[in-house]
Amino acid sequence: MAAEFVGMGAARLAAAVAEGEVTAAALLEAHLDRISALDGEVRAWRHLDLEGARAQAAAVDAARARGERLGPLAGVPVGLKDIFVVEGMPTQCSSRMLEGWVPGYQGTHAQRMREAGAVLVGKLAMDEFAMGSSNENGPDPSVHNPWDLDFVPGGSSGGSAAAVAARMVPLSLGSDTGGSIRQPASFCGVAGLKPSYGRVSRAGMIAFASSLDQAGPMALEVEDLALALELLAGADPKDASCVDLPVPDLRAACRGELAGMRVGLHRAALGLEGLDAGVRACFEDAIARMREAGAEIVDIELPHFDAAVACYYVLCTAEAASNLARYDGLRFGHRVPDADLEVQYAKSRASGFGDEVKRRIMLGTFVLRADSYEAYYGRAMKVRRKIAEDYTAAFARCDLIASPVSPVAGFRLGERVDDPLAMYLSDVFTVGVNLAGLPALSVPSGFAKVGERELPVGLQLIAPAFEEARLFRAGAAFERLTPALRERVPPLLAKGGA
Amino acid sequence: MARVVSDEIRALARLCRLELEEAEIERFSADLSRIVAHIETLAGIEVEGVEPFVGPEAPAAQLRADTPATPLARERALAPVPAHDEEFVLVPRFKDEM
Repeated sequence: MAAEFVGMGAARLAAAVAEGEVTAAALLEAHLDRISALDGEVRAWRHLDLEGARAQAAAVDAARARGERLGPLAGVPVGLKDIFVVEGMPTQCSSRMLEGWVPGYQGTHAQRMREAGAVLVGKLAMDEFAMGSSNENGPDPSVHNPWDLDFVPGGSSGGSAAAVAARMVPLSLGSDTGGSIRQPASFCGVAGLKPSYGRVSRAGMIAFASSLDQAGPMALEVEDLALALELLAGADPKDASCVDLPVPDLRAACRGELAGMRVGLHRAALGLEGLDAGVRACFEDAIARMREAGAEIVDIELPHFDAAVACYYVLCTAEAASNLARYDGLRFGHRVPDADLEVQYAKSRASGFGDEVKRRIMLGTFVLRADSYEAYYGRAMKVRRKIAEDYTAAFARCDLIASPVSPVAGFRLGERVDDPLAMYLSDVFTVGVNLAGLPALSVPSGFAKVGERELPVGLQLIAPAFEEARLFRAGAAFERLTPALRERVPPLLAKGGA
Repeated sequence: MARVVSDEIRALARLCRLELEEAEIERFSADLSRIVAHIETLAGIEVEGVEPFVGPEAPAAQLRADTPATPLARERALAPVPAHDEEFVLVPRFKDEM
């Protein structure tokens, strides 16, 4: 009976619980059934907190029985990327380094979700310390894309994207340092939002690159992202970089129209070597639909677009090398005991970190070294300003910018693991947004062939800082232009689930 | 300097406090050489007189009030520590007796 609710959006489910159409307990069990039917193949979950989730669901049902006012996500099952600190729940960032770490304090994201009545089901798989674009980095089995199990779900928030795509939860949280919400959202055919830098607290989100990291929601529907952002956003005394700006009514923005919006198009980027023809066709189709709906398409220039990946990998690795220095084998998680402290550091870190994390720590240390600092780190900080200024100039001509999310619709598991540079270069459409601190949305826009297979493709919309409302207006309007996309579900769902 | 040679990787690994095996040194040397060569394309961008961009400017970020609060209880903070004596984190001796 509750099974019919699996696959519905978060706002719809919260309303069903509030109206008494279904209990939070039954809703949770229906989603847990889906997880147990499909996660053997998808492997999106790192940890399920069955006892905790059942207690939270029961508390929602009890509150309703007492006639209490329920929160906006009351009874809605939600999954959190393993980067988020949840009190009492194993939190490992998919790294051996944090093996056995169970935080003794609550992170802001988990706290705000709980306060809204959400039922926290567990932790979702990711690339180790959020470093990666495929969910293949780290000690755990790789996540599989629910649309085609031979393909990666994207990364680093691949578990968060796959869990939503497989309808295991209607809403999940991810983090985005250079595209880690938007790219897996695109690969898995779900919607994902990277908020403006400073819109959402970073307290309780394990740091990778502090000037770039932002937490954000992933869901089946754009309006659910708006609901989640309204709950997550807002000043936090535990993060001084989190701003105290009013959060507009983002769900109301979802009822707006594309007509009258100026959408910027950076045509030069469409000539990019490596941009898949199917992805390009999908993007051009999206532009045509927006134009038909009344949007004005405006040409813009981003003169330093090609420099973004190089700039990003200098800065994010430098920040990562500093942030990850805290994993010394002394204070939490993994330790290889040795009588010599220096040797203990080196052995603990060498066996605790995986290859990609070591590669980035090495690169970050290289660009920060006294004799290369100016040539690499110093220069990249200046290039970052030029990239940010390009966006400011572009937004003088348009309300938002549209682009592909990734140059490809997807790739097979194992296909790129031995080519880190190729993996980095595929972040070309997403990293500029993080460098400039802007908000951006990935919304499903179609499908493209990858060999014989067909995979979802996302459309990226980028807005000026703190103008998320524009993304919701355009994104939800675009969603309404493409109803057929919402009908299509991963083939996996036909054979399994509740 | 597009080639990051193995000796340099060894020196970097020491700075990173990472004990690497020979095979890793070879692999990282090849990987970093290619990645650094790509990063060096930034040298072609004119940055004379440009101020470094440290991070996005927050329009209304603020520090919290400086008031006393309850810290994390010691036993909770020590719970995930691999070796402790219920008061302090234990580390190998790194200094001779004074």
